[in-house]
Amino acid sequence: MRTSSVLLTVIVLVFAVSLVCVWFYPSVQDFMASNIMWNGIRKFSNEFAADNIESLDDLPGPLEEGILVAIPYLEYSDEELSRMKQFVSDGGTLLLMDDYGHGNRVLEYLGISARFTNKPLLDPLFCYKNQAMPRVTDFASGVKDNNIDVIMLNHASTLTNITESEVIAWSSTSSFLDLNENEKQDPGEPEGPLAIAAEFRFEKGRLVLLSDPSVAINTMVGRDDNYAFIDYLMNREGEQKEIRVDSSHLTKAPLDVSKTRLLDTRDVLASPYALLGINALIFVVVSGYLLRRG
Amino acid sequence: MTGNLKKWIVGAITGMTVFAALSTVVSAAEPHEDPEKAALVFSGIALFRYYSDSLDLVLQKNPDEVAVKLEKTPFANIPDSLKDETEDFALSVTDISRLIALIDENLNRLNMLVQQFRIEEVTELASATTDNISLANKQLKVMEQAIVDIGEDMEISTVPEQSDLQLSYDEVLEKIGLIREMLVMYQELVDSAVIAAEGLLGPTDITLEVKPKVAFVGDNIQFEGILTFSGNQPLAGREVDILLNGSRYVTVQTDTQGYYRGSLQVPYLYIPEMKIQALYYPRDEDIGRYIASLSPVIKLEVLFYEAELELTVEDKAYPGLETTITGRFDYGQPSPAGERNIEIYVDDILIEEAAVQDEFTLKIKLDPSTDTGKHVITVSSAATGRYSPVVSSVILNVTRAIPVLDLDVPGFVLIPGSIEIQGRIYSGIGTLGETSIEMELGNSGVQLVSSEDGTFNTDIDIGTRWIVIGSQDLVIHVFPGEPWHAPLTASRNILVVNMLNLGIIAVIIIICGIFLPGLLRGRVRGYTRKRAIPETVPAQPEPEPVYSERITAISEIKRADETTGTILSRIFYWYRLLVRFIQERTRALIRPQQTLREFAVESSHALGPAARYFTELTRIGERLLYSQYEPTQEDAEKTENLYHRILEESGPESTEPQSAVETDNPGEKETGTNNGEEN
Repeated sequence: MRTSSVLLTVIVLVFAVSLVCVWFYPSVQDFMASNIMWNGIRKFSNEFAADNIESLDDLPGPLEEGILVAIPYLEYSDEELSRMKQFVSDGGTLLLMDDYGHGNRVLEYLGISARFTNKPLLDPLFCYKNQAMPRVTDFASGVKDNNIDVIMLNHASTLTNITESEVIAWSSTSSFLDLNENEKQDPGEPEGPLAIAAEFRFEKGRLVLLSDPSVAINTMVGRDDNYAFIDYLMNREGEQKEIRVDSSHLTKAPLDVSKTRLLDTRDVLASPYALLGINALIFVVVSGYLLRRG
Repeated sequence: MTGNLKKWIVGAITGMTVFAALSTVVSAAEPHEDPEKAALVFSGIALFRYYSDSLDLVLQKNPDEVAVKLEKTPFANIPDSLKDETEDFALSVTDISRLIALIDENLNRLNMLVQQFRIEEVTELASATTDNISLANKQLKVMEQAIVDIGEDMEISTVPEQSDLQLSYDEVLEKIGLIREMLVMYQELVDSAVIAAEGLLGPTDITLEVKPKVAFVGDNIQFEGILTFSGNQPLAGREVDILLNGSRYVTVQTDTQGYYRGSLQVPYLYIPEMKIQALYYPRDEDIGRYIASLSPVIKLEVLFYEAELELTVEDKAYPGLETTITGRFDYGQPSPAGERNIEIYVDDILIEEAAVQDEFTLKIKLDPSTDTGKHVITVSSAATGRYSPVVSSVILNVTRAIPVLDLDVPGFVLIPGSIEIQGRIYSGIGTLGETSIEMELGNSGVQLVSSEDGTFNTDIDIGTRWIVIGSQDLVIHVFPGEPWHAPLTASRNILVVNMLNLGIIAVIIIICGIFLPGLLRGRVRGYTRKRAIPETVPAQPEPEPVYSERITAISEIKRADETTGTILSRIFYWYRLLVRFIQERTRALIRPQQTLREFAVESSHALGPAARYFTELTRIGERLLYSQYEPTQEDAEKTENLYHRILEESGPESTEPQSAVETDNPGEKETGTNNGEEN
């Protein structure tokens, strides 16, 4: 066998193995639905039967009251924001979960005065293990009716510019906003209770803010009453509303990008035109080979 | 062609790998940590500060806030070693806050009693308050001990005096001290009140009789009694207050014999029992002369019609539609005749008032903008006369009916063309009249409005498109006009066959089937020839076909040699002659896929020992064919020499090729002979 043939065989084999690995190897990136590790949202996706969308073009049409879960770690374009605004205006529910991302850009576009502070919420007393994982026990009326007593956050932030009637949950009185991020409470730093979840009516739809997307990760969604709280925020009211998680604005590792593109490639190859082209190519190659063989 | 294909494959794989791997990796701030691996950090400062805030609420006499604050401590991050102490502290603070609030309230009442010279009540209340203060002091000790134990566990004595931990610890102890001082002050106030009461003179006595002792609300009852002092001395012209449940209700005056009497209307309070007492306390000139007196409690049994209201609503209600509420007043006895006015609220918003009998069924219309979900329906009936008020609530589940779409769609469609779609839209609560419907099939679509009975019939024109054959989703959006119907999106899978494209492809395949083999064959032949004949080699030694007895090919080559006469042609001349010799001898032929070397190996059986010369000659030929080597005169001579040796060693069957050559081209003989002579 010639060297070139060996090289070709090795490359094809490596490529095939790589494809299989990319396809089956789970993601380890934050908030990825395919990530079964502690920081993925596989449990959330399964429990809530949520679909992942890689583009806001996949949002449901008008008058279809779906739920969009957005974790804006990457900035939205104006076209995307316009699509999102239309979705909420038409009656959809937007659950915007952000701590240190670009959630304020969404709020600004929607004309909502509330803002994510993008600073760490620390609670040295009411917390799980340490102050970066605060526990929240103060809720608006109606939340406790849903058997929600305490939720647990994980490196959360807070909300500001919100009226009391809009707030759904507050941090404890021992919490504070670590403005200078020195992990200590300094004079002048806002003290609890601080708003961490809020709800707004937006035309026909709803906008729900939560200053910590980490409540949805695999290791957090089952802790305390986090599951019930997320369910409450989405306010499905027993209806089978479609839940979509926008994964197009999450930070991705090369593996995730490869997975996405592999899926895209599969979709492209599954189209009639591509299948036709592949068949034609196979036909030409095989015909040529057979003819040369005589 | 094979080489190019390999290059293409390698290029494609490389490109795809780069495409797949290239991405902008964006890193954000650390959004979370694994709770399982998180470090355990306890903050004693935060705990002491929280306790200090709780004690502030105790000092502010706000027991409800204290309870709310401390009931959350189970969610605090506190080491297991401190669980007992923190529980003790929480319990004791909660208790002490309630006790202090009670003590404070009792002191106010004690002060009022002292002002009214009600010595017996002062004594009784002072005793109870002293007990409460004592209990509070005990709880205070438990609380203090809990803080000290927590401090010891944190080794508070070892931390610097001005550290935050030490300061927060001291702050808690300081506030415990403030509470202790407050309790001391309370005890002093109690003692002084008793001392003030005991210094008074002139005890009085008052009696009370009530008839009847059982009455409906609104009825009048009679009361009477006598006010005396120092035994049986009547106190005339004094005001006596009649208290209902401790509050003054009416005031009457004693006559010259100290008697008082009157009537009062049982208030519409709808409680089963009321306590009636008569109170005398010194006023004006009596102050300082007499002690106040309070009659024993007379219990009045109050009658009224108490009802329970049972409400039932439909399982589901729809925005904009009426829903039925059924109710029944249950009095637990034969019901009194008459109507009752009721008010119906939806989520605290009054939507209807009505006068109803004991059992009623009402229809209420929900606002079209009512949100789906659970809503509270509250029906209240105010008290009227002997009927107590009644309020009852029930949960109403507001939803929207999901339309059902009966669709008659063909399983496949030929395009270009149209597809006829018929259907009917309805729901569990009726038909959907004049509903807006949108249908999409790929790029084609149609909008229509259903008829009054929910049926519709339409065609979707489907133009040509790039699809050949495949399934497509027919997506139907239903937008009901009624608020009680939910929008619907449904889809049906349809096999789409594009006749136009299919025809074009069939034609292309047929054309390819006819012409492609020939075209490819020609290209392959040209390709093979191109590879087999390097540009530097003017003539390729073609083997003689096995089925041909003629040597046309060799003759042609010889003619070429004559014209060129190069060293190269001479070498191949001798090679070709030898090949022909071998072919004649073995009847074998060089196959198209066979190399010269393979042919030499195959021919070695026929040549015997001379095979090694042929192998050597073959190598010379390969070298000339597949390299840039320029042959020399020496090579030509060597070739000819090898040829002759092979003939010599191949035995008597060998033949001189010149004879065959002469038949075609006599001129070649001279060249061959000359070469032979030289060797």
